[in-house]
Amino acid sequence: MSKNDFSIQEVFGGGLTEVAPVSELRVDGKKDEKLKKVLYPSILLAVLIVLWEVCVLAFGMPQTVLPSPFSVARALAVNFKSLILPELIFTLEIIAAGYTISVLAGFLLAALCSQSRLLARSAAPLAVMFMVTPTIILIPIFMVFLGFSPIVRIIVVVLQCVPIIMLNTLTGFMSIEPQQREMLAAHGCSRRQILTKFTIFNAMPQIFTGLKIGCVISTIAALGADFAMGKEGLGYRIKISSSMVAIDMVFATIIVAALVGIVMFEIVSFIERRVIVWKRGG
Amino acid sequence: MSKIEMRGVSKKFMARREELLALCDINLRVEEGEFVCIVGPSGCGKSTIIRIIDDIIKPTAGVVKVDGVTYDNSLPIPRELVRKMGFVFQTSNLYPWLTVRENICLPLKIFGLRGREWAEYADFLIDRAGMAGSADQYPRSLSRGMSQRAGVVRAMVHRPEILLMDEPFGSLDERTRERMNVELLDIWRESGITVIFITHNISEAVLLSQRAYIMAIDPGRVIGDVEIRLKRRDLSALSDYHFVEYCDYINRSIGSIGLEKAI
Ligand SMILES: Nc1ncnc2c1ncn2[C@@H]1O[C@H](COP(=O)(O)OP(=O)(O)OP(=O)(O)O)[C@@H](O)[C@H]1O
Ligand SMILES: [Mg+2]
Repeated sequence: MSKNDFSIQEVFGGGLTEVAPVSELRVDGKKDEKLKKVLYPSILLAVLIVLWEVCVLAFGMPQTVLPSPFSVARALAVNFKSLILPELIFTLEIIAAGYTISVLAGFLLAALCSQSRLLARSAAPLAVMFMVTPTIILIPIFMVFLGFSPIVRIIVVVLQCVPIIMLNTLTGFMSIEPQQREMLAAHGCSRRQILTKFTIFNAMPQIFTGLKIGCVISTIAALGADFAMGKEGLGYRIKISSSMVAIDMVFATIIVAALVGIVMFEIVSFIERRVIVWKRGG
Repeated sequence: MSKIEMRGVSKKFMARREELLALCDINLRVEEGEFVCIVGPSGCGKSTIIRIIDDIIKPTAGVVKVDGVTYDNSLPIPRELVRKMGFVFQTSNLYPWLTVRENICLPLKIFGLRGREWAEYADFLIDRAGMAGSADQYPRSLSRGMSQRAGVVRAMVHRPEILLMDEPFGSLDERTRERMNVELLDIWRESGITVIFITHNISEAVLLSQRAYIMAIDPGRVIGDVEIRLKRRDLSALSDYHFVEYCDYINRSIGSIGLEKAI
């Protein structure tokens, strides 16, 4: 907030704060801040791209080592429909299936654990163990049973993603201020009323943290599985392009893969802002 | 018949495999329309008394009688009786995901009091507390004093007959607290509500209450009660000779068992 005030003073001069009502100033400050949030990184990105192009031209880099941004864009435009899009759809399907299952399973497990201290104590350390294990190393084992089935990839995503969603949700369910809960207990609320009126709302911020990290984790896991299993997927496209020394295609596919994670994350963030309205604003 | 009565109430907690006698043989009577304070050092079991009255925790021994209805270790409090109680806590306990108005109306929802007249009464109270302007905001924008005021309004919204207040103004600055005290007295006079008010601030207890129960620690027990008769109950009373006398008396009763420091 003080930062907003500062930027307003900087732009409009100090006198204004005394004249204009505080509420209006805050709104101005927020708009300003929002614009900067998009503008600054965009400018930096543009500068980096230009620098990249200049470097490639100036040092005469061969396209097979570092393609220019222009040739990456061209590769993207020319090959998107034929080479990238099918793989994108495939990987998106894996991510969508894996993420959806993870969200449901993560919630269910967290809900169960929140009801039983014993279960929470037994399950949480295992969840942590899974969380820190890169599950793509398990692919050879699953392939023994399932071959090249896409189910293997979905399992990899789910195993990587469930623990993070479960642990965050569980933390949300458990982080209860006794005083805040007591307010409902004093009014004679039942366990169920406390759950629906308090516990779930109280856990919302942590639940969304889990959902957001889950976006990133599931994308990473799906791409990793593509690399490891081959045949299909964005990760496979990157690998194959690389082996064919089509470095511009490697870059083009990387950009698409990165966008998958970013877009997913932003969608969940958008929903979060819609749900957790009480944290918004100055 | 007393409005609230506790007879021989004791409470033992198990803390780290050790028994802790939090309350020992508590006997209290609060008459209808009376304003009673409970004063005592931290940890003497003041909050436990309130939790036993609203039946969140069960007494180890003894009975509670409210409005002629008895409940104890085995007999739970009837729901109609809870409806007659309003609660104010040390922290305002407003839920951040509800607007101030939704927070205030929460007891109406819990007790299933629908209908226009309840909503209108809530609006009336909000207006009276000077909170109309912030009623549709989220609590995070409220000052501490305002939050606590919303907490008091929430406790009144279902027209309770008994107000149970657990150190409600303990976290406010001196000035704000005095103002809230005066407002609370106004509410009490107008509504004729029965109040149990917990505090560790002696002058607050003397200013507010008609009777003050004095508690001591280890084990938590009542060591006496004082009837307080002040000509006027407002800020001018603070410099009254009798006011100072009462404070001094309570201070000495607590001091006589060596706990001045705790207070
Ligand atoms: N659920 C519980 N389990 C174990 N011990 C408890 C529990 N609740 C309270 N106690 C203990 O009982 C004693 C009385 O607690 P209580 O909260 O009633 O004190 P208090 O007078 O309200 O203190 P304060 O002024 O700090 O609020 C304390 O020693 C506390 O540690
Ligand atoms: Mg207390």
